[in-house]
Amino acid sequence: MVACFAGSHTNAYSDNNLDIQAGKNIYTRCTGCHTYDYHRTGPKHCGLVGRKAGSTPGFEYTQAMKDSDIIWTAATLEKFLYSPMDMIPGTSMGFSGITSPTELKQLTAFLLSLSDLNPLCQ
Amino acid sequence: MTNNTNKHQTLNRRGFLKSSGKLALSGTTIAIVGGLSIAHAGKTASSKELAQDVRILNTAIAAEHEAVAAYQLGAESGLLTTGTLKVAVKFQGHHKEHIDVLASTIRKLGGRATHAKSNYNFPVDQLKNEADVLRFAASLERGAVSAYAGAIPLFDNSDLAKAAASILADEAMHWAILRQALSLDPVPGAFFS
Repeated sequence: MVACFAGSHTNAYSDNNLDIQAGKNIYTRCTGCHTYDYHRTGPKHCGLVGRKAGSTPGFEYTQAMKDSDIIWTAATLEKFLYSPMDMIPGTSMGFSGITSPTELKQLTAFLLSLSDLNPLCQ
Repeated sequence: MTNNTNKHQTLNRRGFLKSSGKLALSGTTIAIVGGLSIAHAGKTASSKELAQDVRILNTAIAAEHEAVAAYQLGAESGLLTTGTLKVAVKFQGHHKEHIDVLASTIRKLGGRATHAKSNYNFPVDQLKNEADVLRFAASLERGAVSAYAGAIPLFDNSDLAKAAASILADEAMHWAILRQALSLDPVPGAFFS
């Protein structure tokens, strides 16, 4: 039973790693405006998860983003990336969205990985 | 396949310079936006739709300003050879023209165009030679193509979509030429995502 759980955990971890790698490739689509560790046309993404939308110091957000009361989690990120302007009308993120569930999952996995411990964020 | 690989590997900086001399799109872009209509598919656009279009265009202008600043950084770096510098300045000029057209469009829509930032965060410490500068420029151009590709489906107004597509095509050419100069396959696939 323990082995079974251990095996499941390993597979889940491997799957997540594959998603993160695939998500990193998908992230190149975001690089017109974003990068991991500093603000550009859009805000940086390091430390995004668990943060209130529109709250990163040093970036000038739209009022719509600041008023959204969204906390970034896997679920809210997937919903936003599916159709940013539907989720937050008034956002300046002029991106039509990602409709593939697989790509959404992978890109979200990559964004979730951008904690302050991630080398990309140091 | 082997022939193709060899072919792109033999396209060196001289080819880069020859190719870049053939680019000239700005007049066409201006003509496209010059006939801009604020009617969407036969109906007048709502203020909400116009505000959304202005926001999207302003995001594009912000990215174009960043590109102008990046090419300026490259031009002043002292890392570019004369021929490459000439091309970098030419590409920078295209981005300036994109800004002019986008700002003019925003004014026609009743909005105010965003200005350039007073400073930009660029990975200056990673730019040690000409290839580094070219890689940096290529990454920005690739990102710009993605940004326009992601924005075009949002426009109800086909005039705006046409103008954005024209700019996208120009930036895709920049990206391809920069990749060629770096001895990378200038056109890595049949589709872009």
